[in-house]
Amino acid sequence: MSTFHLYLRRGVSAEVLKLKHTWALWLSLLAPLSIVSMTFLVFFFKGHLFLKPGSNPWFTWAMNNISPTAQLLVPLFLALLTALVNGTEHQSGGWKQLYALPVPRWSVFLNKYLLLLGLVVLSYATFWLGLLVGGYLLGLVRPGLGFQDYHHVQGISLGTFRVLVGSLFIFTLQFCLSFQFRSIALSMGLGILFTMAFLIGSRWEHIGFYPYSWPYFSAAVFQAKNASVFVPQMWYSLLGSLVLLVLGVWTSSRKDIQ
Amino acid sequence: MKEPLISTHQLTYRYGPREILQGLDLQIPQGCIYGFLGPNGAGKTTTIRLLLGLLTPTSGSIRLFGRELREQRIPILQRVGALIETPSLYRHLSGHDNLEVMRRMLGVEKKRIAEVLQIVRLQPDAHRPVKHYSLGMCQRLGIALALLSDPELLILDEPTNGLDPSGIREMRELLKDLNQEHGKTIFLSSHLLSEIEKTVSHVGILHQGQLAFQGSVQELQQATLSAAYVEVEVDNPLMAKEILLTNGYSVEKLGQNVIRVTVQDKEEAAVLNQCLVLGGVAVSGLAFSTQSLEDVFLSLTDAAPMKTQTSIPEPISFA
Repeated sequence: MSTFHLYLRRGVSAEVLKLKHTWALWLSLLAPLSIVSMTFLVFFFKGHLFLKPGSNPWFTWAMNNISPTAQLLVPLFLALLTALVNGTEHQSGGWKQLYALPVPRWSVFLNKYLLLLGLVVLSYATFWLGLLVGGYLLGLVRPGLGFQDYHHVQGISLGTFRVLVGSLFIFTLQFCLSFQFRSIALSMGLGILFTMAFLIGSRWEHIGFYPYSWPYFSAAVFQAKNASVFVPQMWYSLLGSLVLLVLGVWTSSRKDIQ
Repeated sequence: MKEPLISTHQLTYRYGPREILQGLDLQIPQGCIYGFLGPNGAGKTTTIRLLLGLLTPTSGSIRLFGRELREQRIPILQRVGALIETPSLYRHLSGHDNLEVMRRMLGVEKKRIAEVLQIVRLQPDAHRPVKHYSLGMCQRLGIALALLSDPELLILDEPTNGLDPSGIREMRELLKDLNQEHGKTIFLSSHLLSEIEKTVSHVGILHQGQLAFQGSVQELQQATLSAAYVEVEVDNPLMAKEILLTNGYSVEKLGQNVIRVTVQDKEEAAVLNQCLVLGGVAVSGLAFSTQSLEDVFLSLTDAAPMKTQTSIPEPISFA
């Protein structure tokens, strides 16, 4: 095993243990489940009012879940999750201890980033699973809605994957903010401010270049027929987060720990 | 001569316009307990952060184990355990889990956790959350974390900070034990000489970013003994001063009937008394005093006039 992998394996394993008894892990599981559960209740009690009999209910179900998630909940969730996990390190004064260990300085940033990326992927996986289980469960308990007559595992998987990629830049940015600044309120506040800016400026013709709109654009393509797997905003997000990650690793390994 | 375990050469650190350390030349021999003393804000923590590679020096060099820190950071830090200011503890985890986090980072064997818990005597509380620990227990856990990789050198920043007298005594015993039984070289900082003077073998005194003294405790004690006084209460201070000046003493008038005379040792006080009595001066009080280590420390780090005590002082100790 190369030294690079050894440092990452040890570091991420230590980071995972730090999650014990924290809200971060629960948040990653409960946040997506709460969205799906609420939509489930709406469909369970009122689905017959807005679903046309005989039509495919999966699109409405998926969009009712994915749309608010991508527009509003994902940026807020990412801001909260990164602030919580990095906040634990700020609160315990752990950075100085980590940087005084016989490990490469880049690994401190990268270990934390990979742990949080793991949590984000876990959260999206929970969301994806929730969408499928919720839909099939509705088919079982509310056969009148017609969920059992259609199958959209591929479409829902692709839709969730797109939002994940579309939100990577926000994740990396929020990670860098909460890594740099001790105050949870600051990184959370900026996250809320940036999200609000998207909601306010959503009718602007160039809003597609604004990072906090990228999950929305990545999700919106769900309804389009014959769309390619990647929309431009997903590329922006992917490349942007890569650049930001490299910058973050580079600056963090050079900074003085006061 | 054997190379010191830690040596710095003209170590300087500037933070913005402020020069925090100026030309520091530290020499910490292997196997010693080195007390790094200085008032708050003298630059102790900055020095420690520089020794651990957390800060980059503005100029000068740092060598640990005979290697340049800048070039060999990881191999050097593999032989160092550190406690920087307050211990970095995850308060939601138990003491054992805190050690497990560090163990995973370092890749050391699992049995080492039990060993370090035993050294710092924390086994009974190992599975309690750290948020329920007392300050002393937190400090001990911090030292256990520093010991986990079985380092040759321990760098401890104010390990007695905030501890009560019994906590200070426990810490002192622990440090002595680590030095004598486990062969660790210990570099520890403190702003109170009284807290560490019974523990350390070497002392460095930092004042406004510069070393005011560096050497063994014996050397510091020599400095203490060479500064002794006799305070003499007489009926006629003018005549007494006249007699003593004729006999070659250095005299200073303190109060209305009190003079202070510099002497080399306690025996000289008797000779001085005899001189005065023979000269017809009535001596009604005579008190021998030396500078305590604390006084030496204060005189080195404080511009205020040196205080003296009226008897040979015992070092302040809770032991």
